[in-house]
Amino acid sequence: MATPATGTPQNGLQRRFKGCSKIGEYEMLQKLGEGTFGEVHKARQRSSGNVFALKKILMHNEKDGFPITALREIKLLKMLSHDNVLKLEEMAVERPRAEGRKRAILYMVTPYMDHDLSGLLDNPDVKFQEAQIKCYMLQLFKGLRYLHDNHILHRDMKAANLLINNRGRLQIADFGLARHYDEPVPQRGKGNGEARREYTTLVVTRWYRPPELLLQLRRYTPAIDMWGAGCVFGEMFKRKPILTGQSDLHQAQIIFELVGSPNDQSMPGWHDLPGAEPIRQFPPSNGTMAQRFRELSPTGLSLIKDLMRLDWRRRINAIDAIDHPYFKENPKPMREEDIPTFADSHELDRRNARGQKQALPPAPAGGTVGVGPNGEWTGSGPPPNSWGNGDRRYGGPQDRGPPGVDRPPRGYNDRGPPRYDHRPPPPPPLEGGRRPNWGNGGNLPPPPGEGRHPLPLPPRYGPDGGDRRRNQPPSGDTYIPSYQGGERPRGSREPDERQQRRGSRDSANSRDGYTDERRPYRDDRRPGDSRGVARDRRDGRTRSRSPDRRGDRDGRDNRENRGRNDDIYRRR
Amino acid sequence: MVSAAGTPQPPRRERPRPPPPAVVEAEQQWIFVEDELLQAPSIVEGMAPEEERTLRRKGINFILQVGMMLKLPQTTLSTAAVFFNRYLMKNSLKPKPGYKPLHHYQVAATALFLATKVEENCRKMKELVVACVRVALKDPNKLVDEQTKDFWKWRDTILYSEDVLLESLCFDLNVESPYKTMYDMMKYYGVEHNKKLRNSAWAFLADSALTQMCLLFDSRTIAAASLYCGARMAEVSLEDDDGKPWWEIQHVKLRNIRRACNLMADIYERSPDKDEDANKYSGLRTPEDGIDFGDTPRSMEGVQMTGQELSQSQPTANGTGNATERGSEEGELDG
Ligand SMILES: Nc1ncnc2c1ncn2[C@@H]1O[C@H](COP(=O)(O)OP(=O)(O)OP(=O)(O)O)[C@@H](O)[C@H]1O
Ligand SMILES: [Mg+2]
Repeated sequence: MATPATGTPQNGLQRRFKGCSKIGEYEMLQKLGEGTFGEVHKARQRSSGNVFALKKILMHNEKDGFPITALREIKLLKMLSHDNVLKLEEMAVERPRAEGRKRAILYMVTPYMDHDLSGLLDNPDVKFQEAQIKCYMLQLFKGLRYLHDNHILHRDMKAANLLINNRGRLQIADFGLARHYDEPVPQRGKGNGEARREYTTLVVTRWYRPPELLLQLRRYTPAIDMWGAGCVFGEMFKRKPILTGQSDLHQAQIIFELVGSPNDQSMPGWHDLPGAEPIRQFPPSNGTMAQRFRELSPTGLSLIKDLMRLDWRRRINAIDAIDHPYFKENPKPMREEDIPTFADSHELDRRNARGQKQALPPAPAGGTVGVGPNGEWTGSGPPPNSWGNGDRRYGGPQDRGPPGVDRPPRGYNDRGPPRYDHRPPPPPPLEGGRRPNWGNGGNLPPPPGEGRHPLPLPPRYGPDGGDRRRNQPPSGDTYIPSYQGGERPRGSREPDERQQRRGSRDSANSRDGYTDERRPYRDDRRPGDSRGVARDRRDGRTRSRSPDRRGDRDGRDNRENRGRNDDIYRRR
Repeated sequence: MVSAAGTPQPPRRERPRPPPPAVVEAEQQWIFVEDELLQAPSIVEGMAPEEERTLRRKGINFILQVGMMLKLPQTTLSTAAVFFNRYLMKNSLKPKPGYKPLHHYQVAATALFLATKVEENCRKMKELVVACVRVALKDPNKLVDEQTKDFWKWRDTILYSEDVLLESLCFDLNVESPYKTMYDMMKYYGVEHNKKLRNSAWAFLADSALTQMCLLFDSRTIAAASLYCGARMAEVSLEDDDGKPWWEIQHVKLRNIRRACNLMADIYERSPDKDEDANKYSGLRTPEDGIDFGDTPRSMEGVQMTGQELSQSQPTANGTGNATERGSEEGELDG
């Protein structure tokens, strides 16, 4: 089989190509976390000494080759360049030395960021001042303005996908669900506009999912990312996600409790949306925003209300959010370079920290330490009990929501590689001869994989596996997966959705073409592990890279992983 | 993606934006001067330049034929052809001790496989493999299925060559299809219903796809050249915007448009099997440094074309989609 020609031949082209290097050019450091399609490692570039994050792309469906979801993310990231968007430096290739044909392992190389926002908020030692929150929010809005202005919807806004470094820089990461937006971009003072075409509603991690998506609006707009930004804004004060629904319906319910029931003024057209029916039964609410966010000044409150406006057309866009009076009043946004630095916080560390925390007795309810009952930034010490092992970890929306259900046939609706060129695809040419087939296919981004909130592991069996969380009653909701028997892969993607997705995948052009499925999240969170133990195991797993690849020919991959995870659980 | 946010409301149509700088940069590393094409790895390894060009053409014909069988859109095929041509700027097709190259059909099949994913026009692996085997064996009705050895050979080759291709391509996957850009440009000027213009522009792209044009010019330039060609053939003039000539609005250089047109004229002239038609591109010849359309000659005068070696064994340029490779001998993979 071909091996790539090594370098360029002598006397040949004297050109240094950029964009792909060998893994040997990096020295692997520790593992930072796991995403839905691979592990993330910290690594040092040997030539420069600079530190990067390497996200390993696992081939979960080997018979379709390199995952199309990863191709999409790479394509998109390669088009973008903005201070507040994570940059794809290059790709790195690891070629197994073993005899015989072996496929390469590929990594996405991005600058190393010291924290993700979710981890930072989870760390009780980290205090955010309001000026700092303003600095982060401004950066988030600038990133979003850039994306939206360039016709890109992120579709997975959440704290875990916002990376922050120790120089105060915030960057939007994880473009695994992003796609091109085939509509006019938001204009100053004009909200987020309306879309003419339909997109899949199966996007955004539930806790950050806007009401119009929950009600199945398919012509959604950049407003969906703005809603998520609102959730993140609130989360920075509360230090935990502010709307932690246990099902889509429950999510809608708590949204309307917070911001008020939808009506013809607040959300024109809401009752015509496909998902409106069950909403009618909700008890009316006037909203509790002001009570809930007492720590916010009137302008701060007006910003969060603007971001969490039910009417997606009038929800504030990123351009206007940057100009919001909130950022002009005192305390003024901190400058990035003035933001204090914190110890690194990444998923795995956090997981372990949480494990320790859980061994502690619950903190007093509504304590005055950490975030006070009213959310003021008072004391130090452990945060209020609610975040320790409370709601955020329950039955977690680790899913971003169902994946490609009711996906439109390719080539019709959800088209368009994310291009800078935003005009709609051309119609078929008129007649005769050689013709372009203009309808070149839909471009559905990957179906949502599991989000990776600092959520705990779904309970597992095993010695003490009948776990605390199981005590919490599911709220009579089909979403709460049953973990008994460990049949389910990690992550709580709704079972019916999985099936539907299977059936509906790429209906037009590739009925059984490429799996859009993101790899089930191999969650190995082990609440209760002590740090050291966890690290040992982690290293063990890190080293055993090869089993991941063994599924090569027949897609045994997932099964194997699952088996392996179960194993880990039994061991503990 | 450079535009400043919140620019004022566009008038009746949005001005074409320049391509994002990152994309331009990535595309730029794949643009060569004519002489550099003669430094392609296979040629450096001792393959005759004509032979190398022939293999390129055969590979692209393979892509077109498999693509037709699978009813793939032209945009996907042009992306596959770009991948194929780029691969050959990094890898040799000539065997030597310790190096067993991919066959050009293998490269072509893998490039097409990747392009279907990149362009979101996926086909079942099985369909793709079957079409590859049939085209390779030159037997469109050949019975191929999972039982046959050929099937597995091809399937494995494609799967195992994909990451080699991706690495060679430096993951530069944002290949703007000139077809789409050209169509957008036509719509911008409201000329998309002009049949003559459209067909000429289309033929230009189809003809250029079989050349190494994509290694010499960026795709916007190729698209603009096709539009220029169409406009000239149909005697349509493209309007200025605010006193800016159309090519500036479209973010391309007039000089490059002219170079591309001149190249096509050359290629056509040298094409071994051109028919009795006059060189339809000769009318496009213009000095590269002329001022603008209005006062540039429509004749051979002032041609400053270089790199003629390029064109020696180029294929038909008759714009009729004669994509079928006749009389090529290799049927089977040896891999
Ligand atoms: N550049 C980076 N620097 C530091 N940490 C990073 C970096 N990129 C990713 N991480 C860590 O890895 C986690 C997963 O990354 P990312 O969100 O890109 O992966 P993913 O596979 O798309 O995950 P998911 O789909 O589950 O959200 C992040 O939440 C973050 O903690
Ligand atoms: Mg993520």
